[in-house]
Amino acid sequence: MDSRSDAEIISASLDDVSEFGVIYRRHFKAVFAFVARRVDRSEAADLTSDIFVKALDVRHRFDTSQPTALPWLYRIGRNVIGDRMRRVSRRSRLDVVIRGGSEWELVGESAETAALLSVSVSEMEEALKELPRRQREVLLLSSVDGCSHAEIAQILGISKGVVATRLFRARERLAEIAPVLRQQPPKSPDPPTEEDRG
Amino acid sequence: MADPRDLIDRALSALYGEPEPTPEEEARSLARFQSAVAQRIEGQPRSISWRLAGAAGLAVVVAGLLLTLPRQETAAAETLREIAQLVEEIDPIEAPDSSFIFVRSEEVLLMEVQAEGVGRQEGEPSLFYQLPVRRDSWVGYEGTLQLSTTATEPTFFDTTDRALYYEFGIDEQDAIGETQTFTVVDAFDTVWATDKDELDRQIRGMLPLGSTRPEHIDFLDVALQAIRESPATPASRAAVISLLSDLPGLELVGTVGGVSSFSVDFGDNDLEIRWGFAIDEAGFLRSESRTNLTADGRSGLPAGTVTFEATYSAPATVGSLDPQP
Repeated sequence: MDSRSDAEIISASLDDVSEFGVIYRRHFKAVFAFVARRVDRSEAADLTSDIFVKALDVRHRFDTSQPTALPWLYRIGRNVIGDRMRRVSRRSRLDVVIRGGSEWELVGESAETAALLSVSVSEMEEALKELPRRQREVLLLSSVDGCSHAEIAQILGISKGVVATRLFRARERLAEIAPVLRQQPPKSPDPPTEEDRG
Repeated sequence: MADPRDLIDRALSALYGEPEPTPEEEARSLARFQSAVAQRIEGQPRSISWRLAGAAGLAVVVAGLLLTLPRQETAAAETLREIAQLVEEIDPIEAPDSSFIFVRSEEVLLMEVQAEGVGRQEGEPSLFYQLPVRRDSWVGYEGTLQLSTTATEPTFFDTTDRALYYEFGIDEQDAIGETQTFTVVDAFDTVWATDKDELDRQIRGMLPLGSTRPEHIDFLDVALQAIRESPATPASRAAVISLLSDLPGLELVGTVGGVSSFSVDFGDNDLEIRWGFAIDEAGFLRSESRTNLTADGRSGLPAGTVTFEATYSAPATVGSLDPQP
């Protein structure tokens, strides 16, 4: 396990290109997941390597004051994916899911929660289509990719305040579009009461 | 009312999941990455001593080339590259989703009314005039475009044309003095690439088919769309300007107040045409014109006729679609 920071490794890679392999191994799975959520799965592996190759070529621009290279890699990833989308005019992952129906599995949820979530997910599909692109982007980076406000700000090149505003609006708008998302699923595995069923 | 956050996050997680790469995907990605690294290692100097020796040798070679080769970089290309570098450093405009990018342009359009439209016999000359139009555009971040145009008193090539223009009610068709506003949804659905090579391919994919102009002029036409009344990001604008620096025949006219003017001459059928355009240091198109350098035998218009002229304000972010002062 290499204990050096991302910044130290990237700095070292300026003299020795092979050092960048450490960055690849360290962040491959996260970047792969980021890509696979946004494109056809069949393209995820190639685009993931494209992102690292692009990062390799612009590593001299990495801000070494950053604690991790992941937001930087995501930022490059957005461009690589965007360019790819334009080139092949393929549908985004979101479109694929919407078109293809139930491609997901609800893992680790109680049956009741899963039932409510499955309704919510189908509502979510439609609601996401209605959401402004920029709000959707922030929401996905936060809720799905698990990025902090600061990381999203870095990825999108906007302020943390704007991130918070867009996130708030996205959630509010989603709930407006899909009222079922305002319902709270049961958090305990207890079966629902008759009242709940009614 | 319940906080929807928990349900939204969980529904999104269910929708998108946590994709894990298969061993095949891992191997494929790694192989491509390693191949790229290997290519770059081959291009990397082997040791410090080799690097120093190489640098010394290279200096001699470069010095020799500078003495023997003609200068390749034109003043236009050099200026455009400098602008591209400046634009690359600009932070993207940040504004609320509900805001718009506002640009005001003052244009002069060469208009043609065919002979029959002004009481002339078929085969007689058309009526030509130059119509000034003020055009305000609001581009929303989601692609909505509102245009507001106001045409004013035209300029005519002779007094007979002027009389015919009003006699046949062309002024009403042009809505002289009236402001006309319309809105288009999803007008700007083009997301310009930020990578130069990718952008080059994107633009080439948008070139018109069957054009009578040289390909590099069609390329210029499409490329300027990205920096004219456009919400393109600084990165995209920088890439566009960098591509423009590679266009053949481009001349630097001059730089005034941070705005650099360029021109390129080209042939279109029997006409020689000059396309002029100016770009500011933020990478926005600030003016453009097209001028016939030769007389147009078809229309009878003399050499030097300006067929299109426009100046564009620097884009401003506004909060509404209300008229701007």
